[in-house]
Amino acid sequence: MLGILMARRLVAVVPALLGVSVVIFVMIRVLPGDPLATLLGAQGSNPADRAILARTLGFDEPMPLQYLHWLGRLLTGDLGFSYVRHYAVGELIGAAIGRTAVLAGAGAVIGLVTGIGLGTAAAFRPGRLLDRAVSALAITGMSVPSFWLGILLIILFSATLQWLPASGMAELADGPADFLAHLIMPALANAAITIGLTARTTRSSLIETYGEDFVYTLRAKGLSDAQILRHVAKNAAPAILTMIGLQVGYLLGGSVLVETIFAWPGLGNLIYTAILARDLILIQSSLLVIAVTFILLNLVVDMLQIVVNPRVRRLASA
Amino acid sequence: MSNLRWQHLLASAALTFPVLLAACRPAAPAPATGGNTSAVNAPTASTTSAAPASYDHVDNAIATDRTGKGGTLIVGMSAGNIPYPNTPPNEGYEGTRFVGNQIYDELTPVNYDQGDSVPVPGPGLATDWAVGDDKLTWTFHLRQGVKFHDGTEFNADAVVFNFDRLLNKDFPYFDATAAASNGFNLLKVDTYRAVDPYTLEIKTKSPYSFLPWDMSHMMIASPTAVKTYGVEEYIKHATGTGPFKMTKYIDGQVMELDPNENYWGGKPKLDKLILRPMPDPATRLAALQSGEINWAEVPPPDSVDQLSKQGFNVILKQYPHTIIFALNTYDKPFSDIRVRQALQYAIDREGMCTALLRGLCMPASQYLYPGHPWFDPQLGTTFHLDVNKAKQLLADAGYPNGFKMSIAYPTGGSGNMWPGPMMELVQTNFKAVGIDLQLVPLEWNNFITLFIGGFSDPANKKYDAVYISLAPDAPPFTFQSFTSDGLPPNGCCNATGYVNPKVDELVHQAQNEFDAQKQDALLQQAQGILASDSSFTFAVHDLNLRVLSQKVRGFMPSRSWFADLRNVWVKP
Repeated sequence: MLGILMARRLVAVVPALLGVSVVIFVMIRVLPGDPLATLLGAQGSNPADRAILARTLGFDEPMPLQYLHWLGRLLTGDLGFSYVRHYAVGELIGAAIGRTAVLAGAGAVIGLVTGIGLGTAAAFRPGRLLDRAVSALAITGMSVPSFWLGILLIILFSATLQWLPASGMAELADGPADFLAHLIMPALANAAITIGLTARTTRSSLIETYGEDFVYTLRAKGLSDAQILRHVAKNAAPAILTMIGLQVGYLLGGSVLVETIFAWPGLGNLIYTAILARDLILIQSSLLVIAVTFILLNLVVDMLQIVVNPRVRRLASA
Repeated sequence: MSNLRWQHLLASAALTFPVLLAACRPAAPAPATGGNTSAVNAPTASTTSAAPASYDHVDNAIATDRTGKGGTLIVGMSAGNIPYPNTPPNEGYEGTRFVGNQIYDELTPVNYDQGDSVPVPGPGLATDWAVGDDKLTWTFHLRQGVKFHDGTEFNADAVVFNFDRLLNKDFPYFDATAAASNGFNLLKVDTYRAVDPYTLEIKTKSPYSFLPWDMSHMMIASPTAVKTYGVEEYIKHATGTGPFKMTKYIDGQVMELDPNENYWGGKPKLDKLILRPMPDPATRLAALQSGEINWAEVPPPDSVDQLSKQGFNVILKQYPHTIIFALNTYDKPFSDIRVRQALQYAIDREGMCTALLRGLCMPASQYLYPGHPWFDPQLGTTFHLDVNKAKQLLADAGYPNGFKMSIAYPTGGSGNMWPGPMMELVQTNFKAVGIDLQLVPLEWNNFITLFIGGFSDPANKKYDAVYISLAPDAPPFTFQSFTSDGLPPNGCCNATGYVNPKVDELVHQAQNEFDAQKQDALLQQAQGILASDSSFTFAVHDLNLRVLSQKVRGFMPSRSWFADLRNVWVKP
């Protein structure tokens, strides 16, 4: 049963991906600017050489043909070659997505653990001091721009205290201490919004569930607070889970600013520099990879919903 | 965009805290006072003795300290990525400076290990060269016993291979990107051949005395490496004959280079050279202060005073780099020379360099700075702030009440200085003579597309001027921006549409003139006319701001964008 459900959801992904690829392809081509301009710089080049280069890069082909060529190569697993970086796009994205996953993973762990912890604590005694403090913190976390927070962290921990390196990433192979020292500030800056959002969602979802009739029944049965929380948490889970899926997606794709401030060589940084350089192949393939990741994450969350929520399961199979 | 916006904000902060560099140098040109922190007096013979040296800020004791060796130099570049190590690298002049010039040599490299004279091409992979009586056939004698980092022998065949790689479209290792990037440098090359293993012959299409300049831009890669790895994979194994060899290259993160033990010019003193991309100026600043890097390119301008107080080595040096407003001379109002000249008198350059940028720039009244061989001493600094003169010129041209104009400028980026706050000051200056200046910030790619397309392109007619950072440092590119050869769409990069047959003729004569002094005289004359005709409004000269740890010794900044790192060492 679950197999058929999953298959149905997977098939639905195909048109979504095609649509996304067309939108991405067209969108970056209507951007003003010239993909050869950054490649050749302010000193330009003579038009004859430019023409040869444009032909080499395939920019002289009509747009639909360029799209089909791109799609054709994608189907064979070839994401293209970035002439701006002089690197295979697949290699670039492969390396970058791993680094972004490290950053997003660290951000997600910090953000979700802290957020769920704070949200649960706040929901326990709504309206009390702790609840209000958590709400204030959550609002702050959600509102502070991550790049600004990043710079404040750099000023405090790098320039003033000189505890942590200001930017860049260390390979795990070079030693876990150095690796963590480079990771902690960008992960914190990245996690701020997640902490805020998760805390708020967890809090409201739990409070809502606490107000439901079955909780009164449980209390009447004489269950302890901890036992009640377990039941409540299970019922509040779907909303929190949906939010977590979106947050992980956000952390994967939305860390452009943090990665730029900390010179973290991840996917966000890659796309940012690619857009500035009008590195068309790199932009379109990276965006596609992010879109695919989002769609797959949603798929995973949907599947998890089916597993944890019997109502969805029944609804889906009906 | 965010880092550019930050750059802007930080630069604006300089306005609020005008404390910069006051301790470092007098606000106005003044004679050098001697001592370690005064202007540098290079040991080499100087062709620029007339230059007001006080714009330089070089600690001579550190620059000439060659008492030690070893150490690791870690450079925080303003580039957004590690420049790829092709011939040439990308990421603009930072790529040439830190990657290209370190990994590769050229036939006739420019000598950057000197203080005050203007660097010119000299012996490198070629030991000497001469042009025949026909003024077309050049013979280069190549240095013997030089090996590429992979052990391949350097000889005339290797040079021919590199020419083929850039000029021969049917060559299996033809590299279209490198070819297009080298376009201008090889425009005049007609044929090339190896006469014998150590003699190369180049024929030019027309008499062309600047060929050594052109060859000074062409970096020579190992044919074995190119053949082994192919055009696309070569850069991961970039191999030249240069003073440093690449040992690690991770795109987006780091490049590491080790000294070339067998370098023909002597082994460099450093143990290691590490390059890191740090596009955000605040990040570079923090990295320098925390000791993560010991060489920072262009930190935020408002941090310079603090860095100086903290004991960092702040370096400023006059060199050919000019911020220019290139005007649309095709259309009104700038088709009229009087209006163009009025702008030259309307800008408060001194104010920009003292009050706004606190010593980080130098007023520009011509393309080159005073003392450069191409600076026209007759015209001198005629163009300076004179509001009445500007108003008079505008009135004579029929604009007694001024007019409205727009200027496009980049929001930031390497080499562009701090366009936002600078343009806001110019806006105020222009208001004083009745000109309503509209500021149009453009993101880099759009901006550069506009400049390359020029004002002849109908799409660009909506702007009257463009803020551009230009480097009148070396032929052949220098001439493209103001001669008819450079007119788009068939040429590049004469955006203004300015053509003066006399200037064209002088440049042409200079190309035909094989005596360096006479050549300089012709170009000086051309620069004088160019400045008078005022298709460019000259704003300021950049001073190549960089800040080093005190431990970095032996770096002598040259009057150039580029740097020789062979004598640099880092104290433990």
